[in-house]
Amino acid sequence: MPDAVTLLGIAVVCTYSWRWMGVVIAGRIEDDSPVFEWVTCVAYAIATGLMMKIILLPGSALAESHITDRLAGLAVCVGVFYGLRKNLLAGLGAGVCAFMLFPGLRSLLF
Amino acid sequence: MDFRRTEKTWGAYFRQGVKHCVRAPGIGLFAAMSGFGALARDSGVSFLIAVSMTGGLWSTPGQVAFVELFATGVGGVALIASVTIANVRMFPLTIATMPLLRTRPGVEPVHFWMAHINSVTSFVQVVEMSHHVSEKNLRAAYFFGFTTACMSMGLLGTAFGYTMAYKMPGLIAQTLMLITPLYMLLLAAQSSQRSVLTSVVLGCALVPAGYLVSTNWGLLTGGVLAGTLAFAIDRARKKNA
Repeated sequence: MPDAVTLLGIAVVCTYSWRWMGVVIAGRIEDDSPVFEWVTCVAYAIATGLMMKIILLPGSALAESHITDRLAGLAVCVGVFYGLRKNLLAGLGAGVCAFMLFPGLRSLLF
Repeated sequence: MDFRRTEKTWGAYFRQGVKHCVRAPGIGLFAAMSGFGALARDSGVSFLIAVSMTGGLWSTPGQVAFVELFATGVGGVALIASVTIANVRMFPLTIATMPLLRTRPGVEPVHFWMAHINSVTSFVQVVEMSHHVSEKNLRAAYFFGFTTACMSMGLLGTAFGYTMAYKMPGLIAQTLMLITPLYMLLLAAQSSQRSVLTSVVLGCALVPAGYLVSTNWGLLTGGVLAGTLAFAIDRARKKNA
């Protein structure tokens, strides 16, 4: 595999080309065409799917944590988020606290 | 949120943009990027690469895809393709943002910089702001203030996460790494578009499944399949309605 600097350089150029194309094309095409809807769907599916992959199958030091702790964090996070009318910071804070406290709770219960 | 200023100058609106960022959006961004910093450190890239990634890619899905795939040691082509497709959102995002900010039709050099510092968070803010501010040059001033502050918070967060991750006990470092995925999932769930929510649900199921099948191409194929399915479901629903 090429080194990180080369990979980053290519990734920056590729990512910027989307933005560049956007500037050049903006105003010439409708931004509510079906193509955009499809791109939006794919973009959200990849982004959130990747995040779920990190929670379920982490490749990092997160893998050393227990899967039930991560799922408990996710469940509390989503529950509080929807419970408080889509409050992002409250959901995030609650999820993080749940993840940190759950290992202790688990050892008490089981 | 108060967007209008009595003093109608570039500086006043720039400062207002900065002020609005250094609240919930800025705090969320700092947290998400410190999580990214921790993930980046863990994947083995250098500090400079991690910070350059935030400044150069400026799109969380692509950045996270990069460090996750780099850590697993997939091929260069698979990594670049995954990062590029994960950042495809920047294309429609730029097209939707530009008409709100430009002072006259046509492309100006400054638009290319605007497109680089733009992000989903900034776009949402600009749409809200443009309901209150009609002068295009003041909108641009606000946009520059908001996005510059966002980028600063992101860079600081990355540096913080990267340097702090290994000094912290295991659980704290792991918590830091969990922040980014939770933050991004909630950010997507804030959308009111039904097609987006369907994409989120399908993506969360098919991408990890795809990853189990192929480490190299699972993210890309699972994501494209999930997004296309969600798009088709939404089309069918609209047709029947």
